[in-house]
Amino acid sequence: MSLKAYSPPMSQPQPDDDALIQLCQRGDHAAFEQLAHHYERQVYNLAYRMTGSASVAQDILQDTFTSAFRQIGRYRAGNFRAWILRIAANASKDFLRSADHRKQVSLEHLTETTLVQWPDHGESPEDYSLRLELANVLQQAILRLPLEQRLVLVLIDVQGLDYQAAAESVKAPVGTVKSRLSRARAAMRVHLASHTELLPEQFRLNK
Amino acid sequence: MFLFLRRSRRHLTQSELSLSADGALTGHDRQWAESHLLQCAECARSTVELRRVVNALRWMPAATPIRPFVLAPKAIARRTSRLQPRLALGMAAASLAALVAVSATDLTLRPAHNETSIPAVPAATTGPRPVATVGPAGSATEISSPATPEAPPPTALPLPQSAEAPGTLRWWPWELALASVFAVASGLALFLRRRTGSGLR
Repeated sequence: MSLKAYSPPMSQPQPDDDALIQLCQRGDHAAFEQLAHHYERQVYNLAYRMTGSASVAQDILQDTFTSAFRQIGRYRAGNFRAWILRIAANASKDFLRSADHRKQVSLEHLTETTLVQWPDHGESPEDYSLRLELANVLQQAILRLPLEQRLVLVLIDVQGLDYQAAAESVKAPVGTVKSRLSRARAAMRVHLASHTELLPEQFRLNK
Repeated sequence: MFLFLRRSRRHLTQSELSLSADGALTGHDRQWAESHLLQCAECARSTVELRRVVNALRWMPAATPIRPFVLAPKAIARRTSRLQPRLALGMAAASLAALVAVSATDLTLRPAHNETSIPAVPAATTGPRPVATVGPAGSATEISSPATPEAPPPTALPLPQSAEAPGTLRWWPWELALASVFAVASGLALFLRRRTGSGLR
């Protein structure tokens, strides 16, 4: 069985984003909703990978864009994707530090894979189930990482941001981002090495 | 040369392994890492494993939101001008600065309490100290003053009516007014900031 490399079809910064942002800053609600649709999938996935809960990710998605709508006047030209992901990252961290999160019994309980809607990319059912199985193993490992390392790993290795954009999103120097990423990857490597039997063959470590 | 010899004896650090897996090492670091990876099976294996971890993470499917984002009418109604929190914050800062300036001026101009409220007591008015004497039998002890009939008995000097106890800070009505403005403005700034959202830090 061959599994082709796959990168999530996340929306890249759109050329007309600047025009939409200007309209939003003048109070155009429809323009804001259009802008939100360009980035809602990235925001949702960041929140889902950070919290492991589809329903919490949905709440964070709503809070992030509501907060962005209120603060759009403060946005200055730059990387809108990094800006919106920073709001989402802060909302995710706020949730994880809140009393609501501490009520959760265990990490396993948090991962509501059954509620998550996974897109169908036209792959075979076997490949599709394999991808979901791998995603579940990786998600468990991600949730065991410390918060700041988790955030950097999700931004760079899952969302595909470069070091500079990730540094903007977490509001930290690039060197700090590199350091957190290396520690997160090392921890993931150790975790996956101990659960190698759960991984598809081409991702198994120690082979 | 010394750096090269020292490097050649060590393995890649965790950070170098991560950057190497991304192909993000540059210049001399990249050259050294590439030559080291050719000789060191352990570091080469670590780099391959890290690449597998990264590939696995990138291979994860992206989930679709349960519902698309819709701007709630409540959010539109609650949108606040970005000027309002700044104005309140400015008012708070200005009133605090005025309060500090006024208090400092007042403290500087106020007469020193230590000098006015407790005047120095003249030595002549204090009289001799009482002396304890032991009786001839050694059984009874009495306290008596030496015979100084001409000296008047010591009397405590009353404090002037206008004097305050040292260390007390008296707040004038306009200082209280400034403090109130500061409290109200800072509270308003906090409230408006919270209302407009705290997603950006």
